[in-house]
Parts: sequence; C-alpha cells; structure tokens
Amino acid sequence: MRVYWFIATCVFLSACNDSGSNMTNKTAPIEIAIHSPTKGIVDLSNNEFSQQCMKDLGLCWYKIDKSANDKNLPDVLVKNGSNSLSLSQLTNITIVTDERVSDKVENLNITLRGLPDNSSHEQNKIFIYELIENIKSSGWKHYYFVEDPRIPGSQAEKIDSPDHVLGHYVSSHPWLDPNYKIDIDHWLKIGSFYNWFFYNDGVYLHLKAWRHDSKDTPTKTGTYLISLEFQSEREYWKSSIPENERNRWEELLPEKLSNLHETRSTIEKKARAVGIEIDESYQDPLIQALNN
Amino acid sequence: MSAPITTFKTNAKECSVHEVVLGCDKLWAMGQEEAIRRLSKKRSSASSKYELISDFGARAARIAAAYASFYLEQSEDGKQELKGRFYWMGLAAFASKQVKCGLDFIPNDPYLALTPPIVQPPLRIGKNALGKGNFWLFQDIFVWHWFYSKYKDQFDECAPERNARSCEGQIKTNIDSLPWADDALSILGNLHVTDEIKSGFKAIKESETLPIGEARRRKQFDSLMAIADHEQRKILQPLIYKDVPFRATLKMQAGFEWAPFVPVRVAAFSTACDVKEPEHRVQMSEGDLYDENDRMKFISSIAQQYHYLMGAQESYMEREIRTISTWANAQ
Repeated sequence: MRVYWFIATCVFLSACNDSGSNMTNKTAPIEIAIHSPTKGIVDLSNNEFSQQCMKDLGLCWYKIDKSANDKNLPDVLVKNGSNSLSLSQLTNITIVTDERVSDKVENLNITLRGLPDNSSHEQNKIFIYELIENIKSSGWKHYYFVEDPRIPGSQAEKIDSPDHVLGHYVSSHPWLDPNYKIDIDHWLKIGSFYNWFFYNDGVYLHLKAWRHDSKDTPTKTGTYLISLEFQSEREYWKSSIPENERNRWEELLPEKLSNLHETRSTIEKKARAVGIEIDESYQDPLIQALNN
Repeated sequence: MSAPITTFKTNAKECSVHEVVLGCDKLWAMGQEEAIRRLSKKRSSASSKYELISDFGARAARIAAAYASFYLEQSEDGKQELKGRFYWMGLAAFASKQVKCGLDFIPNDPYLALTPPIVQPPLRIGKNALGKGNFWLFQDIFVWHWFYSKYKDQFDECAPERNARSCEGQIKTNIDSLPWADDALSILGNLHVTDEIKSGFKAIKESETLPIGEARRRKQFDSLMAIADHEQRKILQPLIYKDVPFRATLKMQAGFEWAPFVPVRVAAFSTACDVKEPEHRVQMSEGDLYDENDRMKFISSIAQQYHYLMGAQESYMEREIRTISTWANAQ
C-alpha cells in the first residue's frame, strides 16, 4: 500500500520544482561579517539558509544553494574590519562553523554563477581579472605562501612552468600574481585549476577557478566554476598542525613558520642567482594570534 | 580466474634466475586481473579457481572496501607516511557505500517479483544502472591507482598504453566475460587514459612532496576534483547517465527522496545506510543528478564538505573509512 501511495504522490508532486522561477524581485545583499556570530547572519538573511549539522562533531554547514538558471540569484556583502567586498549573482554560499571552538564566521565559501557555460576562455579571463580588481579595490592584498618565493608577476616570462619555480612546486605562482595579467597562451597552459591568494586584516582569501574545456572547441571555450574561500587565521593555520595538537596551534606555529621560511629562502637564493627578481618589499602579514 | 602473465621454462640448473622485463601492457593486465579478483570468491574452499560474486550489493561493499584500503595505504605497496595522497579514494569509499545502500534497498529476484508490477521496471533499471556504473568505474579507477601505487616511475610512460582490449590469453577471456563488457568497453574506449586522469595523478605526485599544511591540502583537493571529473564525465555520464530509462528513473526518485522505500541520493559521511539525522547528509537540492554541469556542481559541493571534514575531523573520517575497509570479503 505504501508503495502505491509513493507512486501516486510522485505523479502529483512532479511539478513542484521552483528552481526555474521567473521571479526577478531583487532583494538586498546578504551581509556577512567575518568573525561575527553565524546565527545572527542566518537569522537576518532574506534568503533562507539550510542547516546541516554533525552534532557529535560540533560541525554545522549553513547553505544557500541555487541553480545557475535561477532568475533571482542572491548577492552578498562580505565585511572584514572596515572593508567590504560586494559579490553578485551567487549560486552557493556556505558558512561552516566548528562550534567546539567558535560560533562565529571563520570559514565562508562563495560560488559565483560566472559566465554562461562554454563562453570563450578570453571572456572568462576578462571576467576573472575584473573580479580580482574588485577584490583588490576592497582592501585585499596579494598573499604569498610563507614557503613560496616572493616572485612577482613581472618575472613571469622567466618562469616556464605553470606550477613550479626552478624545480620547486609553489602555491603562489608568479603567473597568478593578482597584480599582473598573463596572456591567453599562458592562461591556457595553467590547466584545470587557477588559484589567487589574498590577505586582509587577519583573514585569508583564496580565489579559485576550475576550468573545464568544451568538448568541441577546447582551446577556445570552456566552463569555469569560480569560488572564493575566506578563512580566519585559526582556520587557515590549523591544517599545518596535526589534529591531536591543534589546540596548541599558536604555540606550535612559530617552529613551523621557521621551517617554511627556510624553504622560501632556499628558492629565493636560487632565483636571484639566475636573475629572477624578488619582491623584497613584501612582508608576511602579521599573524595576530601570535602577537597577542 | 587467475591467469599467467608470463611463463618460464624450468631447467636443471640450481638457483637459476631468468629475468623477464614486463612491458606496460603486461603490467596493466596484472592490474586488471587484480581488480577482477577483488570482486571474486573461490568457487569452493578446496578450489583455487575464482568466480565473480553475483550480488550487486556485495560487489559495492567490496569496492568500497578496496577504495578505503587504498586511502589508508593498507596494501603491501602502501606507504603510511604518504597517507592522504589517494584523497579521492576516501570520498569514493563513502560514495560506494551509498551505492551499496541503494542496491541493498532493491530486492533481488525472486523477491523483486513480489513488489507491485508498476514499480518493478524502474527498480530493475535503477539496480542495473547502479550496479553497472559502480562495477565499471571500479574496473577503470582501481587499476589506475594500483599501477601508480606499484610502479609510480613508469606511470606517465605506461598510462597512454592502457587498453583493456589488448590483453591476451586467459586475462582477455576474463575481461571479455565480465558483465556488460562489450557495451562498457566500447563506450569507455577500452579504459584509455584521459586528461583528467593525467591531471589527477600529477596532483597526487606533487602532494607527496609537500609537508603537512595548506599547500598539501590544496593539492589533495585538486587531485580529488580532477579524478571526480574523470569519474563523472568520462565514465558515469556516457555509461549510465545518458541512458534515457535510467534518467527517467532518477527523475522520479528526485521528487521523492523522502518517501518510504526510496533511498535518498546523499553522500553520507558515515558507515551507516540509514542515516536517521538529516544533518548528516549532503543532499542535492538543485538541478538534476543526470545533467553533466549540475552534477559537477553537486560533486564540487560534496568534495568541499569532505575536504573540510578531512581537515577538521581527520581521525573521525579515518575511523569510518577503516570500518568500510573491513568489507573486503562481503558475499
């Protein structure tokens, strides 16, 4: 009997999907201030966040998830200290909280709708560089990983690999310096994953683009999934410390940083030796938790 | 089931050694043979011959166990110090567990014949497609990992030579007799290498050189996404999601995942099938599971959740994966 009921309900409910709604009533952007209480943001939002928790682990995911075809995609204003970054036409907003340590926003993921599927790589490049300009104008600065050489984009022509420098794998690669624009040939050589890194007042921002080339014209067109991940200092640095020692991360981090700096020094020394310039003016951002 | 890769002539000379250089084709054949063996059992306790286990749910459990073992570096070629490099395998262990849940939910014949006639066709279609997709994904992806784990230095050179149809002798017979073999091998180009596989294993190799920290985690995530892209677009999409009856079945289920007897399409990061608390689920709420781009967005969302959990709760996740790894002899 229950199975018959299921089939009948299946027929009646098949038209209940509203993801293709034509409604275009634009609502005010959702304001998300990093380090502010998550609950306050979720409660005040005009768009409803879904909540998924793993109670025994103390983890909760708060999400707004939309189809790219939705006519009424939300906008967001990400606030950090005195800076605000405005992002439009979002398909996903996810805040993860680890309630054992904090009920505040320390990990925020945002996915942009971006350009229509199979737009040209050139158009996508322009779109992403405009987004980078928007991020920079909102106060975010280029961040080099502590172990990476401080080689700016101006030296990109001296580097022939999209992910290595002088044989060393680097995360913050000169080709992806947010203060520098590469040509389309270099752009296509990067492959499937693009990463730019920023820092602002105790928060780390990772801009990611995942490229999937079109089947018919792979060198001309593709689809890009563009997302931004904001992490607090604790969220960012905890992955450098083994899980069983993580509650002492502030105590253990200095030694870790020292090792990472050694790696940077080694690569920079090699780079100078072959005529690659180092951005000596760049200083690592202060880790506020270590300064308190 | 087991077949010789090469043969040696015996001689009367004591301690004689005969070195044989195995080419890429032979190594791929050995890997394929191992993938088949993992899903097989001895015909009887006294027999040395193997046969494929017939129950779809048991196959899915063994597949989940094989993925879990790979992630945990439990095999003889495993390297504990590199645990975490086969990042996709950890997520795949949970995903295959979900497939097992779906397959276990649908009764086998003759019990399936006892369900109302109207539900039998979609149940058969769903079971067949899930079983087929999971089985051939394993035949493809397990062997890439097996080869890399054993012969890392030869991987780049040998990857372009993989061709499941080029095996010879008993191994060829074994491959040809696998369920859906004609259909699957033709659709999947005889399990040839793809750009996504190259990209995924390049990221794995790079992750091995990095110390624990953010850079390593990013590489793990890149490898996960590249292999998930291969899995979705190059294996499951052409093999099962393009199939019109299966799409119709999925569409029907999409409207009703909460209904009785219908397994929810979730990737639950726990070993349980019946996840009572909805909070444990990552549920597809927008789009359709069979549409290529919607599915990639869904996969990306699952990958991010898995990635966060592996960062924040690695010991919990590995405990669950370790439990799944014990299902290697499911019948």
